[in-house]
Amino acid sequence: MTDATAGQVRAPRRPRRLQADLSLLLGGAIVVVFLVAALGAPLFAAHDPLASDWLAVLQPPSDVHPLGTDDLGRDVFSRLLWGAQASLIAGVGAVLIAMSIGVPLGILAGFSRGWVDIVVSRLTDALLACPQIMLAIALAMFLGGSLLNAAVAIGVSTVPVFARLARARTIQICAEVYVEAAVSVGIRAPRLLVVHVLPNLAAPVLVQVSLTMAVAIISEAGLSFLGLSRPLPAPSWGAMLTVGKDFIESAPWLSVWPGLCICLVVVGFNLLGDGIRSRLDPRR
Amino acid sequence: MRLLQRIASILVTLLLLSILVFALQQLLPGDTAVILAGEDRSPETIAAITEKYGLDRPVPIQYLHWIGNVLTGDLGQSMRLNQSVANLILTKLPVTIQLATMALLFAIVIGVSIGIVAALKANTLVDHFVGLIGTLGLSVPNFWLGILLIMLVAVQWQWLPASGYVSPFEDLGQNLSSLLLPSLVLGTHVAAVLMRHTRSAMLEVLNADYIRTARAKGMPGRHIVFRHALRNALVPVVTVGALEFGQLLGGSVLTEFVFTVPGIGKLIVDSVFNRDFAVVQAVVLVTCMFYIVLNLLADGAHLLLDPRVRHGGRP
Repeated sequence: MTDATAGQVRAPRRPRRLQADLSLLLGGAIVVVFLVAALGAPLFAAHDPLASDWLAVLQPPSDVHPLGTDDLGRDVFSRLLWGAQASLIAGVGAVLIAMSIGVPLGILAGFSRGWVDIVVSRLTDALLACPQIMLAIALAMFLGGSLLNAAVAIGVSTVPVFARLARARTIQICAEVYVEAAVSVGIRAPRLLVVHVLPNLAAPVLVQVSLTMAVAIISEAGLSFLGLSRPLPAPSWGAMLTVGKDFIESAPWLSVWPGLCICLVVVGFNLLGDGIRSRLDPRR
Repeated sequence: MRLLQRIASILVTLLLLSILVFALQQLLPGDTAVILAGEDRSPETIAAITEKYGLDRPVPIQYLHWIGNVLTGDLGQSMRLNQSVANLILTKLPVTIQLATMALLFAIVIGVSIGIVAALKANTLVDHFVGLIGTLGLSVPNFWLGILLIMLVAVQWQWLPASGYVSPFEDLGQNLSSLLLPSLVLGTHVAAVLMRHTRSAMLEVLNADYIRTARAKGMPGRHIVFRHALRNALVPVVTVGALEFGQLLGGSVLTEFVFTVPGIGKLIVDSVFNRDFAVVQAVVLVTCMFYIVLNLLADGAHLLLDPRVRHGGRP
């Protein structure tokens, strides 16, 4: 054991780099497939995702229905494709909301410090004290169930992550010598923010966008699993699992495929985020 | 001085938290009293609710009214279950705490041990494989994992019950077996988080000078790993574990729903289905307060475990 530990702890950095590139490649590929499926749903879906067929209820996978049919005889594959669209809309919506509220708040707090910083920091603490999925469920319930409201609920519940990140990075950037130099030659705050702070924030925010997409897609699935997202009968992955849960014994394919899709897409965004981070992190 | 500052900031956080939770009910479309009344829409009930919560008065006054009630332990009334919310939470919370504790134990055992192996085998095939498992653990939706496990373990192999909760005072063995699958599912995410933290903390420590010294002295490898490295590497892991426990309490919502475990998570889901707003509001508030207290305890544990923090060597 001694020899093994001694030799390998200080292994060269290169394999890590390889792993980062693999993550980037694999994650990127999964995300691209997801985007194509979501945007191309009208083209690829062979069946109407809402059309029931009472003669083909709960059919196992076959040539006509490659992934089987559900309890109303609807084609699972077509519903998965259209469900991808719901996940994409919720994910993009949530990330846009979280980013456009969180990043400016964080910059403001990190740049101005003082009481603004105290208020923003305590506010993010308060929001972070609430488990994200619980906050999203509560918000979605009070807002009323719809895809847009689900996106808003998930977005608001992930605001503190962006705010905290932007604040920490802004403080770090403002301590740099080049910022000090810029201030000493009389560059004003707005220009300083645009020219120095924002470009340096872009990389960590990009990583966070990818990781938050993963969280948002899992959360949307959770919300639609509880009926708090897109109203039925419109397809979404979580709602498909709600149906599958009632047919665990007789029709396991109803639970397997939607879950696998959620899992795969979330892995994709997580890998992509990790890959980008390793690539951009100067320490690696 | 630092303690006072810490307490002040916690108080501010709690204040903001209570305002946020109160603000939830401002999101409700339409007349709050009518919605809170639920199915019973008689003018008397609505008038009584308006009177009780002061809903005809300005919002800031309503908040003061509400927070006053909360501070005296009155978290409101469940409109559907006809019980005080405080009572409901008190009966459900122990179940969730047991579930979260079991999940955390499982996560620590799995996460820390795999994390150590990954660190010792850093940058080998084993490490990459562990990394992939970790990503999977972070990505799998726990309600789906729950459904899969029910499908395999409970339906296919019939090893464990698919659902149904038994109180530990009734039969401890059955209680543990009824919570085994749910705690495995709930702990997966935390196990992955702890694994990553343990791995990077161990790597950092193993590269430290005092480990090299120990090695140069000819100390046996196992001694180095467990006595020196692990002890130091566990400091950040303990903090993460305490914080994750708070997340487990609230993150158990979907797991409890899938396995029909009657904890506060199931209470939230039932309240969502029943449109029982007061219950959801109260559960969110209580869970968050729990989390903030845990946060404080985690700081305390950090203080105990790391003498550098105790002597003010590090912020």
